[in-house]
Amino acid sequence: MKILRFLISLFITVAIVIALNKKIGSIPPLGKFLDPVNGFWANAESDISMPDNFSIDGLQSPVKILYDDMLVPHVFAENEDDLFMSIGYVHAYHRLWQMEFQTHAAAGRLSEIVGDLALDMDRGQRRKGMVFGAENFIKYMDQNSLNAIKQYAKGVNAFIDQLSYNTYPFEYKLLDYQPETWTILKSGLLYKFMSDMLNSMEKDLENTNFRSIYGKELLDLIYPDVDNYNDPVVDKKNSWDFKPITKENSETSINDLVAIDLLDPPNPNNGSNNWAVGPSKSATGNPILCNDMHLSLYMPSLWFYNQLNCGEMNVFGHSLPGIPMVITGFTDSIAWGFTNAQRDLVDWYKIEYEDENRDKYLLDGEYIPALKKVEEIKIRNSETYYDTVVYTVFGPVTYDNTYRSESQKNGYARRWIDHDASDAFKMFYSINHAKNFHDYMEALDNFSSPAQNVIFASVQGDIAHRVQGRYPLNNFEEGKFLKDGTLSSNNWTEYIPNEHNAFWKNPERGFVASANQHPADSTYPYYITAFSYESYRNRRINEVLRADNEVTIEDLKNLHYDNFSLKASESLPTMIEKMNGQNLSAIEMDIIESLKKWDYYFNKDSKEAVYYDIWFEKLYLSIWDEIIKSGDENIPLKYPTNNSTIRLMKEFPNHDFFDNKLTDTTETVEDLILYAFREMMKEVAELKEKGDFTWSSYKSTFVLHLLRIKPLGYYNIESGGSGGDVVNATGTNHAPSQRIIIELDPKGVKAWGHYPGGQSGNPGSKFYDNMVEAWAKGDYYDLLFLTNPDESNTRIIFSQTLTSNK
Amino acid sequence: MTSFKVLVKILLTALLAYLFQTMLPWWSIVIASSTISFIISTKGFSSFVGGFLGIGMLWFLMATIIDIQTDSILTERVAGIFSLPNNWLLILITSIIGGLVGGFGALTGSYFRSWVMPTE
Repeated sequence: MKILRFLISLFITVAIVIALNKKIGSIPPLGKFLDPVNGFWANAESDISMPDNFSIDGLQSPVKILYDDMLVPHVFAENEDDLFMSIGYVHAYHRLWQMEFQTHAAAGRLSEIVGDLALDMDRGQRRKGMVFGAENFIKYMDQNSLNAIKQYAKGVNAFIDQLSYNTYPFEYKLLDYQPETWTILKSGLLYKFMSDMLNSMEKDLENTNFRSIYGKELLDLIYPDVDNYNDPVVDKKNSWDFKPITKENSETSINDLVAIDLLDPPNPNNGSNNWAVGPSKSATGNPILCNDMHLSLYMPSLWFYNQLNCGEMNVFGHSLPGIPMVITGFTDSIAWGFTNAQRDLVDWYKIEYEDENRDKYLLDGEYIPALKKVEEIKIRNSETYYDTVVYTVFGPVTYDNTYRSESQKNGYARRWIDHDASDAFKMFYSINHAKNFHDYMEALDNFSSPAQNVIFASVQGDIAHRVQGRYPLNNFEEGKFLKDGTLSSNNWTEYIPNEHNAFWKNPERGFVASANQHPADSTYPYYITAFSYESYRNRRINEVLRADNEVTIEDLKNLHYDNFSLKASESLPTMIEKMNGQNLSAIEMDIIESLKKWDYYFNKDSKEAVYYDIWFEKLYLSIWDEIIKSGDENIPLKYPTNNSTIRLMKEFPNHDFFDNKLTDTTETVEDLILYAFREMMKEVAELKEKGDFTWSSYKSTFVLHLLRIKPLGYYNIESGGSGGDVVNATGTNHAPSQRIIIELDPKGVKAWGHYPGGQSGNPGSKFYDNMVEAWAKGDYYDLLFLTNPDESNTRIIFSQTLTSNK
Repeated sequence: MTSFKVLVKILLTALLAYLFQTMLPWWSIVIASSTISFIISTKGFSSFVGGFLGIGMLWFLMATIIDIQTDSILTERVAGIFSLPNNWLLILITSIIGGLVGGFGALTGSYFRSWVMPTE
């Protein structure tokens, strides 16, 4: 009897322990997770809890790390190996979970963490050639960069190796898994993760479909290569002093209807602003460089501030945890920044398989064996999935009868510039050491992807802009449509030489600027196409800078936060005008009257911004309903740009696209504008029912945690601005992911900045989201730039020493 | 006498569990509560209470101290993840989970004692 009692009690105890030690559904293992000694409670930080000393095997000399009051590490090492190893440790200390999660996402390995809900996405990543590209990137890397990422990996692993459950970053505990060893490939994967966001925007298949359905003429009208407004990045009319190269082959595209459920494209608003004013325009006579990069907002933040110092190199700026170099920032002599160059750097090839087994495909008249790679996708709590991907001479076949396409004998191979080897890290390595204009140019010669408008300013007083990337040489309209994949001559053969890329230095106007617009004026001698070029921010920035001849730091902060919408100013008057003669109610008239008085500023308290924004959105959707419908039927088409929409409305008010084919009557633009207005009125009435509203509350900006778990993000941020078209591109979850202002003072470079997050990746740290409010309000932090490790500065709050234990 | 014994058990259980936990995984609280309950004999129910309160109070105190020291920064987020209306409830759940495990551990220890030392 007593033994039975004991056994029952033992059984219950063991059963409870097992149950509480196990993740059930999305609930973490409760015993393990709630344990105040080792569970999530251990991740709550009251202040700075870093160790004063840490040892890393292989360090040659002690490394000193000074943390300032924003938790920015200033790393002082005696040699580069030590520096990169230390920065690996530092990044891992603050951001390990994110580094691993993002590289898993790039590599198509999220199913290992979250289970089969990520399987389709994981397959897509592998089929796009993300891992293929990362492997090529690492394989052909230059010695200096390769060494840097090797040292970096050692530093990351020194941190990982001493972890125990108690010290795991929070998200590992929440999802109940363990960090794995960091590898050099992961640095490459993280870079491809960025490239994918920036360099894979294109619409080749959608163009092909549109041309087949509506014809070429309409395609040219709605999706022009160049905007009707062109205020390019580099404007050197008739002074391009080189002879463009030409190529032998011309490409053949295919007239086809491509029925594929396409993978999600990158956010079309991914873009940036940058500008630099030269000595002639700057109030102090020092060049000033500004940059803000518009991306989806995540926690932990994509960016991490750090200063890297060893010997000749002294650089401060934003790193991407996972990569040892500073991606954008400044040295003691120069500053550089980016906006995306937008160019079309993806092409699609229609592959003819011999049969549905995909063993052979037709190339230049004969069936040749296809290279097959089996992708092993491990899935948490489920069986491993094996996906066989075909590789052609063009690249991996993304879509075929095994993935998102019904076509039995055709595959669609993807050619992406980022599949190729690239010296991008050599560029970052070099520019982190740069002292002057010459160094900047030399560094950029190594930069192939993601193609960027790279802006520059120096203490010597130079400013410059270079639209740098590796661009396939295309004849007129090549690369814009699905290509014939049975001819090897359709592959990319030649590339525009670096010295022919759009570039200028110290232009007469006294400033350089870019906001993802067209790279060059109409006399630039190469054919250029893109997913789309930006139409509004760029002109607004240029207009403000042209008008200001005594530019101060304050002016540039204001320009970062400029809420004026050129798009509204160019569309709303037409929309209001076309409402003339309509029979409107008193409430409707009130709204029209208030919109007439509106100054087109998307300020946070504005109500008119809400009216306009909803009105325009409803109008847009009603004009392009055919395109939306086609997408629903699996014939993907691309949404036209706002600029194209407004142009059609103003210049072609009787165009067939305004007619809703589902009705017997013929609708005109006036009908749609009225319809959209009434739809807006309905939505506004609903908003009013819920209480008072402003542009800020309607837009409701937030930063999303990478796991999309709401309490780990930051919500209801008060802010003005608007995504995409306004210089202050603060949208709902897409916005400036950082802002920086750098004054190239020869007596010492000064910089101000912020990003919507914090230096710590730990949701249990006050440094997790401490910069968000400043970012929303327009307050900038002074970015501390030290010259030596013994400098006494009151802002240093913590100092750490790394040593070798041997 | 019994209540004094239970009080001693609570304190000793908490102390031993804390020591174990700094080196071993969370379930080492079972070893602590069952060991104490084995050494100091009480009736089944009192044993359970001793283990429950020993671990429950230990976890309650530690969670509370962390919560206060860190301005509830992580308590609030985790309470949100579990859709709990307030932070105290998370601390309470933490204590109850620890308490349950501690209680059953103690019960097992006490039953083990009465099985192997039936003379008492």
